Amino acid sequence: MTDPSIAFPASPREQYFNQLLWHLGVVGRPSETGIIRCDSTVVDWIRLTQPDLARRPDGGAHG
Amino acid sequence: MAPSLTKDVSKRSPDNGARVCLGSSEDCPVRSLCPPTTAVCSLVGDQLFPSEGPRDVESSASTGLYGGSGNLGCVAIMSVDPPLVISGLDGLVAYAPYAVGFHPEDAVVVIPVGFNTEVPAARQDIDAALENSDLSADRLRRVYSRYEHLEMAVLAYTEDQDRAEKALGITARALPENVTITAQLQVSAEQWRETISERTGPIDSAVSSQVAAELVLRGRRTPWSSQDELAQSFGPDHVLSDRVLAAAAGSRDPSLAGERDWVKRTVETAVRTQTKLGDPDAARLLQDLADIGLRDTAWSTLTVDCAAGQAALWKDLTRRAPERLRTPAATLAAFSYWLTGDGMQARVALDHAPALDTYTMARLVQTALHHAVPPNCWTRLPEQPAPTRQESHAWAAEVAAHGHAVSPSANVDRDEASRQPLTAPRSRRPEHRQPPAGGPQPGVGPTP
Repeated sequence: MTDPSIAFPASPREQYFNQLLWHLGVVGRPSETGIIRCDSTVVDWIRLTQPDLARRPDGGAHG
Repeated sequence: MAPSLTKDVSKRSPDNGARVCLGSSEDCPVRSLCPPTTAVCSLVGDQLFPSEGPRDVESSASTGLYGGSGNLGCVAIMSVDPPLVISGLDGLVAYAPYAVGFHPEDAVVVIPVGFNTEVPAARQDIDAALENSDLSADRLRRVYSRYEHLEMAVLAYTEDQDRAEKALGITARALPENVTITAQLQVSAEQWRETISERTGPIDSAVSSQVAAELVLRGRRTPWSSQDELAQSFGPDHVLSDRVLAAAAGSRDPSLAGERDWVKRTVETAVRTQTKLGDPDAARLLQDLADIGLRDTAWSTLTVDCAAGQAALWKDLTRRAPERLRTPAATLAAFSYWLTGDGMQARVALDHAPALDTYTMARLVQTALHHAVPPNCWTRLPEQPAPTRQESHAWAAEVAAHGHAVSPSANVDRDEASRQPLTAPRSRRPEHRQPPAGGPQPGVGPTP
């Protein structure tokens, strides 16, 4: 479901962010659909990864 | 994508399909952190071999020491450093509010256990789970099916047993096949009940205190007492007056490059010294953020390393901003919390962005949260180029005419750009939805 009222990302950083989301497959092709509207907040993703904290016990960083 | 350690340290139990802990010193990356009372087991063939001798899976599970369907034992929560190892369901119940950020009420919480640090935790209202079960299932499947093998605990916070059973059942069915449910609990004020094994236990304050101490030592803050209290912590407080805002507008640098330097310096100093901005600086920064280019200057200082400090700065400015200036600060707060992995506070910050529906950055952050996009996809972008002569002239003209810039001067070229459809990256879109390590490939996206 798309929201045509949303302006396309305009600043370089917004464009980068939108490209990132497009690469991840969570928004449609920007030139066709704009940003996908978030319909309703049914599920809250409360705890995402913590890249600065996610380390093995030996101190090595993941990834 | 970080390697999953789960497959290295646990194997599928042959009889019930559940995963069991292989806490041998050779295999388990957190073995050294286990409580001394925890026995060490390893799985050989069909049997678990604890330190004192062989024992079959069933009898081991009955002790509740180790994972098996309905018997959660040694649980490693790897999202904190050093990893938190808790024993049993008491510990899991004590940990859950820290995962959520507040004490859940009338909600279902899905918490990953095990060794994959990139798996998000979820929360939904029981009403939403019951009334929008298809949509809820779609959301959970879409995110959790990204991963290979997962172990999850599902907790329903309600006093009503029937309601808990329904919500747990719907949530369990919604999870994709790659998820093994290690524990399924109803949590009420006084006790927890594991619905598979029918084990029960009191809400143990001693265990809660121990887990709290462990987490506080790791830098986690005490959970808010409720979702409302968390939301109120973002509410208006010491809102800047029009007089202060007007005075601050007059202090802005007549050169756009100079103002950019000021924004960058002010943000970095405030974060480094962990100090709240005084009213004049807060008022000046809030007005600068109304300019997309200057907001991007502030955004460019945001990295994983300083995200927690930035979140505190932007949250404070969100609270002090009058409504017309609140959206950019709230959005930067949301982005900061997303970078730290705190999806709940990120969402609450967006709730305090009055122009959420029309502010593009806010919608992008909202989309990232909605799809549980892992923040380690974000890589720091280079500094913005110096303002063009056209931008600088526009800024100077506005400052001269009004004493301050009243419109997004950095958008001189942006308006034209905004009418251009974004071109798709030249690289092929990934077939699956695994996030690429490091975000879009260099040179594929727009030049910052």
